[in-house]
Amino acid sequence: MITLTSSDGVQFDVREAVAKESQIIRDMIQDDCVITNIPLANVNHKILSIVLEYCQMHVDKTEMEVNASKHQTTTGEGSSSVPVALKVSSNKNLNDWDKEFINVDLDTLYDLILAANYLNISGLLNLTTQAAADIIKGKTTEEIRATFNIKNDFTPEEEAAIRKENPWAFE
Amino acid sequence: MASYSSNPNQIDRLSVLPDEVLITILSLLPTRIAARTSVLSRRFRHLWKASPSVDLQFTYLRFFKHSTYVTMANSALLSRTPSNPLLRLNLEIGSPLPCDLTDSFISSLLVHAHALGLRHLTIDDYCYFQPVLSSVFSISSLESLSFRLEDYPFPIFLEPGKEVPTFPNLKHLDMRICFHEYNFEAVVTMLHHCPALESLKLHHKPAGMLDLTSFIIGWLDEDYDPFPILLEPGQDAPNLYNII
Repeated sequence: MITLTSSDGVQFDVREAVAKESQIIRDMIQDDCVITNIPLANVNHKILSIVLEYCQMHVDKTEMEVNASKHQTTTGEGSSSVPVALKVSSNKNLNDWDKEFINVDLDTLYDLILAANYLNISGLLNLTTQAAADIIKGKTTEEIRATFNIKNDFTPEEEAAIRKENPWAFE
Repeated sequence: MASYSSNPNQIDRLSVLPDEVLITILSLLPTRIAARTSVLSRRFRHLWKASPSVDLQFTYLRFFKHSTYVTMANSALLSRTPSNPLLRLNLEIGSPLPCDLTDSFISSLLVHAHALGLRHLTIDDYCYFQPVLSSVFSISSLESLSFRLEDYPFPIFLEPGKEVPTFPNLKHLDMRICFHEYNFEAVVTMLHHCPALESLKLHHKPAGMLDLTSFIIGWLDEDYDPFPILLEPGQDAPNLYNII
């Protein structure tokens, strides 16, 4: 077990495999194999618990598949049909789970993006940045500004000039 | 945190994300949409140009003039220099070819992408791409190559001994296109020039006539199998696994 301490001092005891979903923690453990307590200065306990929920789920799914394929090997069935079906359904479940998991408010989404970036958890970074991209897609410039509270610091003339630079983007 | 939650609707937290994170977000958008963010604010003015992905959807521009394509391709791709490498290129062409879009124009995009060290190429919905095949096959830096052609399986022809590509780093090949039936030998030769291949998807049924047994491919998918995953790459598959 590894103890992760959030920026606001809350301790989380997790299995090493779960913590190792984070590339920076993986590197720390590799460099110092007796390390048991890792302080995470940039992630508060609320976000860390959500991040760990993600890591736990993904580790569990992977282990379930490995066990299933081991079982397959030991029973000596030649056909790969059982693990295929299992893998497909578990991938589908995991995608559904991810979709549900990422259904959060914008503030939480920002925090998850920052945490995934800081901890270097590639799956979570992909999921969260894709969610942000999906919010941008299909919105007008004004709608994007309103959604994210982006302040337009261009003068109308400047904005018109930029639109002229890339007219294909605005047609 | 408390300061944000007290008035969450007034804070622009998107703009304070690190550059690399914002660029990642923009790289997940079609280039046309990413370029639109240039007018959001000064923060976003030039960010989209740093994206390692270019995703050109010509289908949206069906009724545009040739000059529009040219300006788009220029700003998004042709004006890029090697200091800003291109990792991913998606081309959604449209069938039939949108007015004024030419094969040689598409070839020029591919040649430029090659010069920028392209790793991942996807070509969607291109009715007859034989003319650009040699441009695609010259991009030896590719790690994944995908032709997705749902409705117009126009047979392509690989001349044996000629135009056989060498992709030393290619891991994922998705060729849902069909081949002339006398063309299987060239396909085999091509696969022999892809030593790193981990997954292969083929349309139609050439595999039944192809001797693929000497390949190490963990993941083979033929036709439009709704459950395309046969095996994890490399997992328990010393050789090609299970062709259905």
